[in-house]
Amino acid sequence: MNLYNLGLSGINAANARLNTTAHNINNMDTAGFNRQTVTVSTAGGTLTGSGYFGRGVSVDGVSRQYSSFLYTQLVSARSQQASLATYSSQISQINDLLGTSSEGVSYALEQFFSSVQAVATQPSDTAARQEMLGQAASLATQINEAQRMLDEQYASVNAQVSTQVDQINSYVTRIDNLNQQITSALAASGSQQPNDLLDQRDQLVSELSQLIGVTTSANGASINLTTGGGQVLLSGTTVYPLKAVASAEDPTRTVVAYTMPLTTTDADGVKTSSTVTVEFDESKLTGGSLGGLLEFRSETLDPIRNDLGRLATGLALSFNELNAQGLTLTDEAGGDIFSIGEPTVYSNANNEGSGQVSAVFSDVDGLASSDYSIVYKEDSGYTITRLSDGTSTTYDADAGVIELDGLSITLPDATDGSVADGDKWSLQPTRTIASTLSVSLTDPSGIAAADSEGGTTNNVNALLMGELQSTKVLGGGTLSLTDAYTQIVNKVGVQVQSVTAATTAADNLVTQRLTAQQAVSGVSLEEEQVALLQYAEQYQAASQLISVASELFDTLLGIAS
Amino acid sequence: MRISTSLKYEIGASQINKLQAKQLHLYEQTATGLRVVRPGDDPLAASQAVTVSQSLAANSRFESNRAVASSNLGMADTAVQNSVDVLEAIKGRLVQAGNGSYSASEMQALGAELKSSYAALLTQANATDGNGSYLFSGNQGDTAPYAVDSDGWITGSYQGDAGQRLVQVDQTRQISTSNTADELYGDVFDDLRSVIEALETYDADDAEGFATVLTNAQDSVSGTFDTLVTIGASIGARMNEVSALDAIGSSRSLSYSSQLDDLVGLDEASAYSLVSYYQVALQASTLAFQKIQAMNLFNS
Repeated sequence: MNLYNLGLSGINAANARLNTTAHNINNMDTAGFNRQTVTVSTAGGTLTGSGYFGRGVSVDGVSRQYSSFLYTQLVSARSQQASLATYSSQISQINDLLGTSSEGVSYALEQFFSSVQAVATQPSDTAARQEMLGQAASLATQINEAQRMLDEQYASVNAQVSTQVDQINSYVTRIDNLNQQITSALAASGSQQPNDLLDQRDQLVSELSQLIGVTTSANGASINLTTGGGQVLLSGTTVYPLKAVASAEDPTRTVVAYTMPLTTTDADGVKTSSTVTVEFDESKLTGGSLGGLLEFRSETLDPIRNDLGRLATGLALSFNELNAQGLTLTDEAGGDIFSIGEPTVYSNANNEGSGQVSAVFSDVDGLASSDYSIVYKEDSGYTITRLSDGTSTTYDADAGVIELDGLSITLPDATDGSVADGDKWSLQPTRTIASTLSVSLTDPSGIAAADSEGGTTNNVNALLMGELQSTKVLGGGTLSLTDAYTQIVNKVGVQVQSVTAATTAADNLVTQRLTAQQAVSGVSLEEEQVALLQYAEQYQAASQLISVASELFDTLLGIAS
Repeated sequence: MRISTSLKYEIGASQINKLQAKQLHLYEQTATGLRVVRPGDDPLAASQAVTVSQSLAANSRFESNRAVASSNLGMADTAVQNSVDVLEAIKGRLVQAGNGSYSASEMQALGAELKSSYAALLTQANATDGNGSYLFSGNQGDTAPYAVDSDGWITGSYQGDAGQRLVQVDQTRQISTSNTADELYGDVFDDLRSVIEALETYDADDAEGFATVLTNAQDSVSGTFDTLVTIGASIGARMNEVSALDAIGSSRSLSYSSQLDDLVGLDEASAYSLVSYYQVALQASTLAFQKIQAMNLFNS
C-alpha cells in the first residue's frame, strides 16, 4: 500500500522538476530571469518494529539561483555603462560638428583673415573691401550655425530630461506595485518565495538604474529606493515622484527636482500641509542615462557654448575697436563692423526683491569663459562668484557699476529697498551670444583701413586688423582668436577620448560581471536538456512503482480467490 | 564555470558589433583620406592641425600680397629709372647753358627744351598705378604729389604726406612699397623753373645773376640725380627681398602641407591592409559564432 504513496511522491517530485526545467527552458531569453531549481528532501521515516522506513521524497519548494552580490554588481556596472553611453552619444554630435576642417568655423576664419590682408594690401580697392565684408558675413554665419546646433542639442537635452523623469516615475510606481504583490504573495504562501515576481522586480530595478543610479534597501518584503545624495523615491508604499522643472536660476534649463511634504505651523498652532519642490544638486544625480545627460550638459555642453560665445565676442569687439580707431574711405571715424548682443542675466525665480542686474562687455581681453552667480546678503553686500574656479568678490550694496573680467556689471542699489536679502542672479555672459553675431557694416567704404593720418592708400589700421589673426586679444593676453577656436577643438577631442575610453572599460566590466552572474543564474540549454532526460527517467521509474504496486494488489486478490 | 546560453549569444553579438564599428571607422578614414576624421580621434593632432592649416592659408595670402608689392615696386622702379634718364638729359642741357657763347635765341631754345624735360619729369613724379592711385603721394593716394597750373608749372609744394604704403609680405615683415615724391625730387622742380625762366628771359648783361641760378639748378639736379639712383637701388633691394620671400614662402607652404599630412593624414598603405584584416576577422568571428551556436544537444 505504501508503495502507491511512495510512487506518487516520486511522480510528484519528478513532475515538479520537469515543470521547473520546462519553465527554465521557456524563459531562457527572458530579461532578468534567474533559473529555478526544485529543492527536495526526504519525507522522513516512519518507525516500525523493524526500523525506520522512509516515506519517499517531498518537494520543499522552488528556489531561484540568485546571488544578490553578483546581481548588485551587475546592476551598478550597467548603470554606469548607460550613463557613459548617453554621454558618448551626446558628445559625438559635437565631435561631428567640429569634424571636417574644410568647412566650418576654422575654414571661415582662414578665409576672413585672408580677405582682411587683401584690404590691407590694397586699401582703396573696392572689390577687396566688398570681399572682406562678404567673408565676415560667411564667418558670422558659420559661428551662428555652430551655436544653433549646440542650442538645439541643449533643447533636446531639456526634452530628454523631462521624458526620462516621467519614465523614472513610472518605474518607481511599478516597483511599488510589485512590492505589494510580493508582500501579499509571501503572506499567502507562508515561506515560499514568489520567484518570478522577485525576478520581475529585480529586472525593473536594473532598468530603473539604467535611467538613474539608485540604491535599494530591504524593508520587510519590500524594497526602498533612494537616489544618489540620499533622496528617497520609494519608501514603504509611498512614492516620492521626481519632477522636471524649469530651474529657478535659469528658466531655459530643465532640471530634476523632488517633492517634499512640508508642514508649516502658524502662530496660532494651526498646521498646514503642502509640498515643496526642491531642485537636485546635479552633481549628486549620477548613474544611468539621466546622470549621463546631466553630466554632459554641465561638463561639456555649457562650457563649449561659453567658449564659442567668447570667440564670437572677441571677434566682434576687437574688430569694432580697431575700426573705431581708424578713418574710413571718406575720412570719417569708423563705426562697428560686427554687431553682437549683450550678456544674459537671469533673476532667480524665488527673488523677493525687484532689483535687476545687467551687464555689458567692456574689455574683450579680460573675458573669462565662465558663468557667474550674484547674491545679495544684507550683512555682506553683493558677492559675485566666478563659477569656473569658485573665486568670489564682494561689493557694497550701493556699488553701482563694477568692472569684473571684462564686463561692466550694473548692480541695483540695495539701499533703496528694491533688493531683498538672499536675492540671486545668474550671469551668463557668453552662453548664447554666438547666435547674435552678425555683420552690421554694409558699405565697404566704411572699413577704416587708414589710421588717423587718413588718405586713400593709408593701410596702417588695416595692417593691425590683419594682425588680429595672431594677436593675443583674449584670455588676459594669452589667446588669439584662432587659439580660442583651437582650444574648443582640443577640449572636445580630449573629452571624447576620455568618454570613449571610459565606455570601453565600462563595457568590459559589464561583460565580466554578466558572465559571473550568468554562471550562477543563467539557463544553459544543455544542462536543461540533460535534466529533462534525467527527470523523465525518474518519472518513468516512479510510475513503475505504481504499476508494481498494482500487480502486487492483483496478486493479493488472486490469493484470496 | 557555467556558461549560460544567452550569454553565448550576447558575447558573440557584441564581438561582431565591435569589429563592425572598427570597420566603419576605417571606411570613413579611407574615404576622407584622413586619419583624424574628428577631434575625438586624436585631440592634440586635431587642434594642432587647425593652427597649421591657418598658417598655410596665411602663407598663401602673403604670396598674393607679395605679388601686389612686387607690382607696386616695379612701377615705382620704372618711374624712378625714367626720371634718372630725364635728369641725365637735363644735366647735358644745363652744361650747354653754361657755355657762355650762346645767343639769346639759342638760350631760349634751350629753355624750351628744358621746359619739355621739366614736363617729362613731372609726369614721372605724378605717375599713377593701374587703378588711378598716385604712386608717390604717401597715404594720399587720390591726391597728385604736385598740383600743376595751366602753364605746366607746379603750384605750391608737395601735396601728399609721408605715408609709406607698407605691405605685409610675410608673417612678421612689412615692406614699404613706395617712396614719396618729396623725398625723391626735393626742390628740383622749383630750381628747374628758375633756370628755365632765366633762359627764356636771358639777358647777356646779367651773366653773374644767371650763373648763380644755373649753378643752383645744376646742384639741385645733381643732388636729385644721386637721390634717385640711391632710392632706385633701394627699390631694387626691396624687390629682391620680395623674391627671396617668395622662395621661402613656397618651401614653407610645402613644409606646412607636409606637417598637416603628418598630423591628420592617413597612411594609405597600412589603412588598406587593415581593411583586409578586419574583413577577415569579421568573417572568422561570424563563422565561429555560427559553429558554436549550432552545437547544442537539441540539434544533435
